[in-house]
Amino acid sequence: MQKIIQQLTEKLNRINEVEDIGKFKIEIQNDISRLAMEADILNFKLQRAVKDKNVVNSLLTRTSEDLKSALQKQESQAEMLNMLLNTIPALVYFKDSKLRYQIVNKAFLEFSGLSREDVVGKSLTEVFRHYLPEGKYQELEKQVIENGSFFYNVEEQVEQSEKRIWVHTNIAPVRNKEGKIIGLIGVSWDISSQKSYELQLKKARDQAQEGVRTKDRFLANMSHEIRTPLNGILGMAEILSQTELKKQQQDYLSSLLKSARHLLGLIEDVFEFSAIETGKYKPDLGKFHLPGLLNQVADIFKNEAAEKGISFLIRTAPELPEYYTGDQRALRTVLRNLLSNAIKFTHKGTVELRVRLDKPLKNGHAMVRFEVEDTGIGIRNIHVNKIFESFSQLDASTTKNYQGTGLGLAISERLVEVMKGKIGVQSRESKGSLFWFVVPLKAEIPGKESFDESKILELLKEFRILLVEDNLINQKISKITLEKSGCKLDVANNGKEGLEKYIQNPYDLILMDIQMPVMDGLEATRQIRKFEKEQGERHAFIVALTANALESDRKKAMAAGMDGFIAKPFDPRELFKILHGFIIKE
Amino acid sequence: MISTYTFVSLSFDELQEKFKHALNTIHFKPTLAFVFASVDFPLTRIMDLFREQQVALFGSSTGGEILYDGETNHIGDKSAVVMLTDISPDSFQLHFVKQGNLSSFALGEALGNKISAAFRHPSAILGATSISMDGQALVEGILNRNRNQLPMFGGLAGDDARFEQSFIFTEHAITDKGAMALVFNQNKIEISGMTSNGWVSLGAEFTVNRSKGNIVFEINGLPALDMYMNYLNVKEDDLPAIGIEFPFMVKNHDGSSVLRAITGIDKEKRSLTFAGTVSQGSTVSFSTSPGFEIMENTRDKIISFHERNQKADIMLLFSCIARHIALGPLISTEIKLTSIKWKKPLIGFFTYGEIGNTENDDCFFHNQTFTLALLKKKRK
Repeated sequence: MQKIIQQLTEKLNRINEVEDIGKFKIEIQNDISRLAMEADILNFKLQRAVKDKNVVNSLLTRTSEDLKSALQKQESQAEMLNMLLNTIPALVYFKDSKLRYQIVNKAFLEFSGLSREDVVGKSLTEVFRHYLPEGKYQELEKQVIENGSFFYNVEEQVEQSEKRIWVHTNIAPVRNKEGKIIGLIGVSWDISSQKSYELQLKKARDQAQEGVRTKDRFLANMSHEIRTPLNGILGMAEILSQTELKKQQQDYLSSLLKSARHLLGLIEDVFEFSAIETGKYKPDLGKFHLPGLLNQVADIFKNEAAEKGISFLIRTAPELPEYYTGDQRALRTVLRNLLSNAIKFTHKGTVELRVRLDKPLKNGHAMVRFEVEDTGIGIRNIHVNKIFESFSQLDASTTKNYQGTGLGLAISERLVEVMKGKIGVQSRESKGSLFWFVVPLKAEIPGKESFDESKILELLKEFRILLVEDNLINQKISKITLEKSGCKLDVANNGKEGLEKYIQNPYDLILMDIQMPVMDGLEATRQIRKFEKEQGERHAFIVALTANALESDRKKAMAAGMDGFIAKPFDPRELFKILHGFIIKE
Repeated sequence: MISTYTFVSLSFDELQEKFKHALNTIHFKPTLAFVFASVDFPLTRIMDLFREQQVALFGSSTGGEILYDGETNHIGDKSAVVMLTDISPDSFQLHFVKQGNLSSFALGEALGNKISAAFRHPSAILGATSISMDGQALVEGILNRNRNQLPMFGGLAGDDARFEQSFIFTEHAITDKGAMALVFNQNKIEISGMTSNGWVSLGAEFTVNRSKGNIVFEINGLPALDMYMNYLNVKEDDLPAIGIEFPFMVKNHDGSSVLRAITGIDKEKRSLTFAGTVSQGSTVSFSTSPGFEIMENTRDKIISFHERNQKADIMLLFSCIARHIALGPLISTEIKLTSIKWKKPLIGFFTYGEIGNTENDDCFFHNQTFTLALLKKKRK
């Protein structure tokens, strides 16, 4: 445009030099119309610019308003999040990948007693100066960052304001949009009070366990303390029964014996149960003759059954092997309990003991099934499940009518369990019950050496025997029991006396009480063994004769050098058996 | 060579007179004519004229008329531009379909069927009415019946920026709702072309919350019409005219973007009707011509296109009405350049939407473009 104006100006300046004025006029008109066109364009551009400006301005204003409100919304959202973070009743923190605190909430600051500036950018040990390093928390944090692992329920002790505090923490990796781990988030809370409850609980449990141990000790002591006088009563009663008595006196004595034996049974039940419950029961593994065992058990109940007018039958399957290795004591106890119950709860009809193989014999492994069936009062369905619980008789009325500790079946169940067997019951009220148990036993080929009581007795008659016993009643009972068998024996009143007698003139067999004044049986045994060794004396058989029937006592006795162990009040046959064992060994 | 005769008329009488004069003076018998006229012209009378002379007619109402033939250089409105040609009737077919109750896509399919049946290797010049037409759906319908391959150029009819009623017509038929195709046998008539736009986005992006085809109901949680008015601070009466100047740039899921001009509004439903589809969920932004730089852009494109396609017999130009509004008197620059480059007669109009093959040969529906088609008779 300026160019056109410049040209026009030059032309007009040279107007005087123009020759053809007509042509000049046309040129000037052309320039002016070009100028007008350019002005039009310029005008248009201006209008256009104004329009664009208005539109763009409006758009800019509106979008900036949008942006502002979006920012405000974001701010209020951030504020909300922040508020939530600070309201969470737990310590919340975010650490970057170098494990430095970046974001922490109010609870965290209150807990640490620090300001945000003191925490942000710092590491754990910088923030918690007294961090107790024995924990593995720091190791876990590394794993979160390196492997993206999550950890829950991490318990850690920290020291804060000179107080040890337990905290519980969950930690998780924090990933960015691309999935890269940029740090970790942790949530912790103070569990000190919970922890202190836990400690109290543990203490209470320990105390309870101690209580159980105390009870065990108490039972063991009671067992000892009761057995000793009971032994006396039974022994003296038996001696008394050997003397001449009037008919009435004999009846009284019979009742006395019955009651005393019952009492002994109860004590043994309680004692046995206690041993099983506390895990002290040790299976008494050995070879035994099953028909013999069954007869022995049956002997106990034959009379009672006959007295009640019940027929009592034993049936053994023909294919059943006779000899086994197993826990015959447990077996005997279970059978005795089941038969005792059957006879106790049956008033007419039959009690039958059946024994058969549950499965065919395989490589000498037998599954032997015992069944005790009665036609007694039976058990109501709802009680069947409870029948094996301890101290359980079916209801108060049962307890009133039938004596017993209620431990028999509980003991039986546990003993069968110890033998790795199974026990069960089928019963119908007023029809009768069938108790059964199956135990694995190892069948044996019968040994050549069989126990011959008379042979042992002959031998025993030639033995020099010493009884070391402080209790005078027990002395008498043992003496009479042995003398009845034709044996002679000397008596010492305590371990020291026993030792002295032995040194004067060594004995072949010494029956040694354990708990005695002056010198106990264990010490006396040790001295005797020492003497034997020093003097090259022949080995004397020393058998512990004690009311302490615990397995631990047996061990102590053996460790002191004793050869055997018999619980008082003793059955001479038990002694014979032990002696038989010695003789076979020799 | 295609023989041509071109003229501009400012009234029907002038047109009638010039047409009669031509028939008496030109040395060829006209077989096919292009007439682009203002809606104010009595279009049926024009039809009568050509029907009487048995000249096939491809006609459209416009948003402004263009004719450059070396002597007459006309860019105007309220006028009619005419081009008579001697293209052999066995080289072309003229198909016309009224829309009736058809959707834009179905209309496209109906027309597409006719195009594909016309010649073994067809190409087409497309004409269509614009009010409520979804140009994109129309083109997709046509391509759907032509294995998605068809050289096609054209423009949507205008009505002098009133956005009320536009027309297309032949010597036999006229409609304000329909489409037509001038189908060429590619073995006889060669067709090539280019498109150029250059509109730029005005930043802020919005989400189309609710739309159906080319009607948009809600943007950014606001009724579409209110949103447009609100953000650009314009009045209801400014629409839809302003909507062709400041169209939406619609971002496709593949990252490409298309411009979509507003061709109608619904004051009751507060909706905006666009010249092409605007899918629900798509992202849109306002757009404008970046001042006068678009001319530079188009200039470069014309020059490079000319280098690759130097020969033509006639030129058809479909230039968006928005370009005229945005560039004002400078719109002549790009038209003049085209005329000078090929030195052949050019006829065209300012459109409400353009159809043309892009660089990679796909035919597409555009807004805001300068779309040029070259026709050339093949030598035997």
